[in-house]
Amino acid sequence: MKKWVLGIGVLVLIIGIGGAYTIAAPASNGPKRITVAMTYIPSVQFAPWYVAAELGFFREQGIDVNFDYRMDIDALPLVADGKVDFAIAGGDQVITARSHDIPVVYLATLYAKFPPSIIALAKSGIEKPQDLKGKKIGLPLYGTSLLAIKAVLNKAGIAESDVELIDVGYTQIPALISGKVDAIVGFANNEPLSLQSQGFRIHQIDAWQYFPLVGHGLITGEKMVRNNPKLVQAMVRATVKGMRYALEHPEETYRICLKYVPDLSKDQHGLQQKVLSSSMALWQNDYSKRYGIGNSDPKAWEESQRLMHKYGLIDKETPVHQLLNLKFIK
Amino acid sequence: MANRLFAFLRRYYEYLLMPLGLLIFVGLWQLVAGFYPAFILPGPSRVGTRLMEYMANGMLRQHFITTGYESIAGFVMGGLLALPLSYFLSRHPFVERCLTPYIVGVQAIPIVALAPLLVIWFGFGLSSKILVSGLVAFFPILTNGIMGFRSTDPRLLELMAIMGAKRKQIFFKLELPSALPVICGGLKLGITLAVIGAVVGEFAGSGRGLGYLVNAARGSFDTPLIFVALIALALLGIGFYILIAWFEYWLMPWRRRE
Repeated sequence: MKKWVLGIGVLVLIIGIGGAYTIAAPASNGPKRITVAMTYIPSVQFAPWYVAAELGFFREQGIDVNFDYRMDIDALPLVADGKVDFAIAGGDQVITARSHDIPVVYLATLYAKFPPSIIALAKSGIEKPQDLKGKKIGLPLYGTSLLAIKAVLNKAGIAESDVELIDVGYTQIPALISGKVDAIVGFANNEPLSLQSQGFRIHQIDAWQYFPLVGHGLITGEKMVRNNPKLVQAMVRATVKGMRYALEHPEETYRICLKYVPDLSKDQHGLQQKVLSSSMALWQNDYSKRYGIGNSDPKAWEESQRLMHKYGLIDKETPVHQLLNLKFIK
Repeated sequence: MANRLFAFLRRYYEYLLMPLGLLIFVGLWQLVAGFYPAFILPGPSRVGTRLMEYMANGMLRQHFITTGYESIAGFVMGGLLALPLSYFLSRHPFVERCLTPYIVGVQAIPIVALAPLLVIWFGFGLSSKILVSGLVAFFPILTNGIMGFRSTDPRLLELMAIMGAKRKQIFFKLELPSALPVICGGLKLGITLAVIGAVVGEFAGSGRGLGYLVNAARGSFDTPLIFVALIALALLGIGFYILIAWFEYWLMPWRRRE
């Protein structure tokens, strides 16, 4: 009996200390520790933030950033609720979240060009959107990829019933190679490069050539913008500085990325360097060239939202000034 | 009057406890939900409204049937493989010792990690989900089967042998009946796991089913719809469990008294 009580006592103590430690940990002096939910695995695509961490751009702004890879899109509600400080998320995800009254705000754009791309093997003869008629297309059947394919089909005047959309999750490449689908929806800076590095000849239809939709960027919660604008300002500044530096020093940027993406095998290095450079090509569009890097065109937001509403992906629209806050980037 | 009410309660309180428990649960849920925004924890009323909406357009039924079909097919497949194998292994301990490490090894691989591969190999249709579901259901049915068949009383076996019973008679009159209670335990476990397997398969890639619904609702930040899918999954699991329990009851008339 005594042992039993002692055992429970020790367990409670351990849990208590653990809990107290996690709660107490961030309350130290020095730079303010914040968390960014990356919503993906460690990847060279996050180069601006890796550069900012490595070269002290965050420290200059008085912040210390923890990259958190545990959450996927579930990070958005947490950001809205103030449980997580920032996240990297797609513009369409922000629009969808807002349509469900989840108060998140987009602060700066990483992908100024909308990155989804429709990819087919060269031998399939699919070269332009019209060629997709009657074909099987594999994609994760929600989110950005779904928006992209709906927009492309619609623009090409193809009814959705004229193609077969197959949910292949994130196994697009095997699905395409094994011939289970004729084309896939991926990202211009990812699947095409991966396929080419495996020796496949491909055709790709880049969505950004057809629409000015909004891609991934830095987001936070409305609460944070209201209660802690200085912190938001610091994060946005460091992000933009990181982007600029990365664009000017691609080689060094890649070397920095390698420290933050430790799981890369040697034979992936060539491919990942290509992923980085083609990602960088998506960071700028005409609008951001004119108004400065990280800026996002409110018209693109209007258009994205209009299309998403039209395709039934959201059931109500949100005023653009609630979705997008460019105050911190000016 | 009060007396009669009291007598009624005393007689039927077991049947009242279940709905009462549900009521308390929903009440607590509503209470706790009040402290959180709806996108973190939607209250029961909100989930109820979403459930009605989603049922009205017929989509829920479609997803329910898909997952139900995958689970049943997986369960039947897993069971048809596991039960004969369990009998064989229970009678050949040497083979069992040789095979066990492999069977346990396969079982130890988290199905979540295996499912995307199976989906790539067997396609994005129903067959890959049935396979995942069958794989998950297989193991508990197998282990319970082995345990059940081993539990045959050796004295009774001897007795039947002395009386000149044929192999078939020994199996149907002694081995199978004495193994049934344990086998049924394995089946109950297997059917609920089969549902989980089907959902895991759907997570890996599919356009239909309750697992897909969870994923799609998650992708569109529709938290109440996630709850709707979870409730449907729970009902599916309970329904299957009752089905097996009823089957057990029907199969073993000699145990009904207990």
